[in-house]
Amino acid sequence: MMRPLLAALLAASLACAAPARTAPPAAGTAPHRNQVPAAGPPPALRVPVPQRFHLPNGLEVRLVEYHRLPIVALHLVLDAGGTHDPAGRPGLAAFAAAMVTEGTRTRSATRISDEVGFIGASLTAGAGFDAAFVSGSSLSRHLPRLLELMADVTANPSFPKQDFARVQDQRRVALVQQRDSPGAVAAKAFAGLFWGSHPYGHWLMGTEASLEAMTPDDLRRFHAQRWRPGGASLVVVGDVEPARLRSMLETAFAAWPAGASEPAPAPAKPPGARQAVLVEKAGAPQTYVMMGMPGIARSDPDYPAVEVAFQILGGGTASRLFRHLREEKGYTYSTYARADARKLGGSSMVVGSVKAAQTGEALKAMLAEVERLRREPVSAGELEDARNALVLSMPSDFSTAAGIAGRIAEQVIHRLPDDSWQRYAEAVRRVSADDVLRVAQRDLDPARLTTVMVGDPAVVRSQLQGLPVGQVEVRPDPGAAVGPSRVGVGG
Amino acid sequence: MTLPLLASLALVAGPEPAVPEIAFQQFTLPNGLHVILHEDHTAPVVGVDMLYDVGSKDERPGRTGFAHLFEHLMFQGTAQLPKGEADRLIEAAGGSANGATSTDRTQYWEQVPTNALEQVLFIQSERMGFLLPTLDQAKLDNQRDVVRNERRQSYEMQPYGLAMKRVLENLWDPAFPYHWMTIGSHEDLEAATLDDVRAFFKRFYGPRNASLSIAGDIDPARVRALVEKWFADVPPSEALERDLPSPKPLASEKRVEMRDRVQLPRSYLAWQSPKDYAEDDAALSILGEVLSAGKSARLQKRLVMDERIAQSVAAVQHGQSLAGMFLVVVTAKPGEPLSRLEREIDEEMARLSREPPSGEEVQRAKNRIESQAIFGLEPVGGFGGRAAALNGYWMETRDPGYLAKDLARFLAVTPEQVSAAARRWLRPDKRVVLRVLPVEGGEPAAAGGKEPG
Repeated sequence: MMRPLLAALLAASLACAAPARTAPPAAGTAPHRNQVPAAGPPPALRVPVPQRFHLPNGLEVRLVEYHRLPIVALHLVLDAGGTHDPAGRPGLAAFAAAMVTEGTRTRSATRISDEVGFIGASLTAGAGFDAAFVSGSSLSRHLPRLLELMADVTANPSFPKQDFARVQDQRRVALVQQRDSPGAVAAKAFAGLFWGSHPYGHWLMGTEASLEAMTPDDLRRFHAQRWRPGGASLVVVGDVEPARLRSMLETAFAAWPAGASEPAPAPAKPPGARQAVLVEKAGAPQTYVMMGMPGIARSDPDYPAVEVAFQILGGGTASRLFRHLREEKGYTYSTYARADARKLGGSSMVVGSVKAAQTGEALKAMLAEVERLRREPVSAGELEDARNALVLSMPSDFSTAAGIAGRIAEQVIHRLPDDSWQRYAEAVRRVSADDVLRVAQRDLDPARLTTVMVGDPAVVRSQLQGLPVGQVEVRPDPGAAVGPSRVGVGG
Repeated sequence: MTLPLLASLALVAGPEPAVPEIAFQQFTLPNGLHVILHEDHTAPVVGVDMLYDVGSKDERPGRTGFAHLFEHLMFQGTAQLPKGEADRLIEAAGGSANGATSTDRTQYWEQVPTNALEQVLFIQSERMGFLLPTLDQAKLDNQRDVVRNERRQSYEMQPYGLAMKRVLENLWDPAFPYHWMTIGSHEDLEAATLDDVRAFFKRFYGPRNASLSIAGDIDPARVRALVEKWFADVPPSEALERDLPSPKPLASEKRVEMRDRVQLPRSYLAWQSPKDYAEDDAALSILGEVLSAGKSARLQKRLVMDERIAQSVAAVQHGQSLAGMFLVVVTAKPGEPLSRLEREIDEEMARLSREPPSGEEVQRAKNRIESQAIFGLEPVGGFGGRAAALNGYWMETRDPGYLAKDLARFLAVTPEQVSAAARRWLRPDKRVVLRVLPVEGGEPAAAGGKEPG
């Protein structure tokens, strides 16, 4: 067993003793190395156009045939997302979705899990804000069984009492655990502060109290009202032919009665007042920073220009935030900016985890990058690189079944036409420096900035003085609350 | 830049081979670099994967975190590419890229549209052959800061973030390189000098210690010529002589406790287990599935579904190059004592050691594994796509096409072998049990008691 000192000496001697590589003679490098090779003309973007048909019950189906591998990816998209949570009942949509795989009229939760497992498939259900979904994938030879299971959980969930209690407790305890996760703590605080009474202004999973108050009947009612074929779409990508698929679907979904759900009313925009909160996490070596300003909805005609702006600001390793805050200053490992463009509105996000002692410097640097984008037109080079990054990466997005299904699902949720991806590419190519300036000034407005930080007030508070974020409210550490609220032994 | 904790599941073909064959060509350059090519014209994209046979297994105590720090330094510029320029080129071409360091290997991958492949080969050859002269103190200091932030973000700021560190420290003796986490320690990172880093590069980053895999929309003859063009002037290196240690076996059970800012107590049970591809590696992987994959899996059913005393439970076999680890992780519901959870886990594992799992349980595990193998072949690039898979198999078995044989060893496992493997490897008297407890409060009273105080 080596002692540390001996080990270090041994390592050093090993390094010396290691066979030396011949030093590359400067003049001996190949002459072509002096120039970066040209990239050649990029391939044309070919976006697959789905075949569409409807089932007798009104369910729309969008199919992209993809016979490369014997697999199929399914994505059922329903207008049953968290924006439909009634006031005072946050978490209903997500809980209802999670429960559909926990028992149907003919199958127990365990039987569903076993059947899915036995065919080596996946089947999950959940909800975001803008939609609920049931997603599955399997080898194509198991597609009939997967469709049968998918239809069963979609149309016939039974919300059995014992399974309901089990999942309710699991979700409640998961919320308890989130108290210690800086990302979740920040996002929850942000949702309430930024969105307020808007349908996005709550936590998708709800609160411990709202979960405890729910009953199986609440979920049953929600499911009956919102999980209907009219207005829903099933996206299918993979190794299946249309005629066979149609016939399988008509069999599988025969028992799902026709009907549509009421659309939600259009909400008011969030106020966008400047505000700042620091949530305590004593002793934290980093500060998690989440900043947001009013932004655009996904269907906004300025979406392409906004995407270009955020690619430049914080979209990847060539972005300003990455280069400045990480590669130059070393404040952070991870920082980014993105447009969170949803169906009913959006926010412009700037996020990073920064070394606690450099929180003030890092915030100044983030705000300076925002200000620079608002003040100075971007250079021709940065603009071209950003447009290319967005457009030329698209063929890659369409190179897997899951990737294609995801892109089509996005069109479903935001009601975009089939050629929207092609049009997006064309629009991005036309975005100018003036466009970037204009959207930066409108959608990155620091006078309407919400800042949420999770970190150690003893270290961070003094660093915030003088920063243009507004008065900072300090909130106690949610993880320091007295114990998990009760013994959750259940039944 | 990222540290995947678990290696991807090994893959296998069935009696009726469901996994499509991935045809490839391979050759070795005069300077020792091994090259693998696979053609797939489904989409106009190419995945490029460069693997170096170096990881934290090659570190020494006092210099932990080096392999991963070095991975970061590979992105800091070369003779022809100023810092940041390679990133810009790849993104401006519509590509993506990343790296990862494990205990055993360091991986650099890019996925780009077809027309940008030559630029990627230029970048990878620049890094291999022409990086060192441009590596300076400023770059080292900067990436040291970045890596220390990565450690803070991914480990110190996360609930249970440092638990695995304690598990590894107790599972492996201090001379065995799996004893420390690949991210290393702040002290060791601070101690790294430019000379240390240069020596590390010279020793491990030569073409003979690397292999390059390219999969996607390529014309193999043309790409071979491009590879030869760009790597011809990368100087050769000798084959590496290295003495990789074996671990000392555990002599007894080690029980360890730590406190963390968490809400729920959690236990980690860890055993030394077979290395990747060794006998019983596949049987233990299947055991992991039988224990925790799906609602009727033994531990899920008892602890999560029926008794509801666990918030979650997972069991997994993690075979690596030098050794393996079998891990069971269970998180208690509020008020449930870890002692009860551990006792019940022991009961279920003892039961499987005595009575083999059913044919159906084992078949379900095999079906999942086979399915995952096929889905894994979708992307050409990325951490786990075709280029990476071919490369990984070559590095580990010297056969890029090992997929079918790999899958076969899983499909061949019998219920009796699963049981025997559990008996052989998962002894309660030779393991580590780490308990992570909330900073306030201790173990609740036994059987249905509330949390004290």
